[in-house]
Amino acid sequence: MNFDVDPATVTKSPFFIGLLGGIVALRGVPGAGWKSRAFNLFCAMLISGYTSPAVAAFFGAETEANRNVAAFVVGLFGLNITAAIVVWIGEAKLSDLLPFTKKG
Amino acid sequence: MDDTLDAVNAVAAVFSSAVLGYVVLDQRIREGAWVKAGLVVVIFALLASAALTLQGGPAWAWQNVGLACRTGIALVCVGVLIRANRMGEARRARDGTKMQQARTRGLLRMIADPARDVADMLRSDWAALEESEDEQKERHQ
Repeated sequence: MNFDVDPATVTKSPFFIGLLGGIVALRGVPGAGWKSRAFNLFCAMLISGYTSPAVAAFFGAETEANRNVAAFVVGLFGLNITAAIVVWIGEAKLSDLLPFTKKG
Repeated sequence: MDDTLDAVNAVAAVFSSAVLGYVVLDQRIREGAWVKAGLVVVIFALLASAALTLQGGPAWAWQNVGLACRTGIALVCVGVLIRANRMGEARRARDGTKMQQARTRGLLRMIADPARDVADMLRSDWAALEESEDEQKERHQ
């Protein structure tokens, strides 16, 4: 199999730029271990890849530099938001929200 | 004069977003998911306003920046109220207040409790609600 990967295309991809932002944000993010950190990083890459073009368009950013900045910032904070949501889900007692369970 | 004002506006927006970014990225500040999401939306709005100030842009982009800014502030308010409520629940549990007692205290309590929760939270160091019991014990030792 022959893979033709253009480095210029990869480095301009919002997925890759978001991944870089996530790597920068890894330093300050609370994570139980490398597995959770890797999961957060993967989520940050996906969030950046799929939402940063929409964010850039929403704010009227038409130049490529602005779109790249948007991808980096979305990756940077996407990792933090993912980590916060994971912590929130982890500590939430979801059974308390169900109306048909017995309360003490 | 206009160029100077634009430059000052842009620098102020970038500086504000950097400070808010520090709050979001700093592990020691435990603001919770809602406040974090709201701050991130405000940061985006500030960065976009800086870019629009320097480079120019359509009127609808400015409207979207304003919308994002207000939405972010609303999210931060919701997060503060949720966190204050959780701290209040913890305080009521510590004081041994029963749910039936809480129900019978009526309308005045419904108004006074959230206000007291917010006041307690502002006086405290934003108690680390995510800490495990072991971490809390370590911190108290």
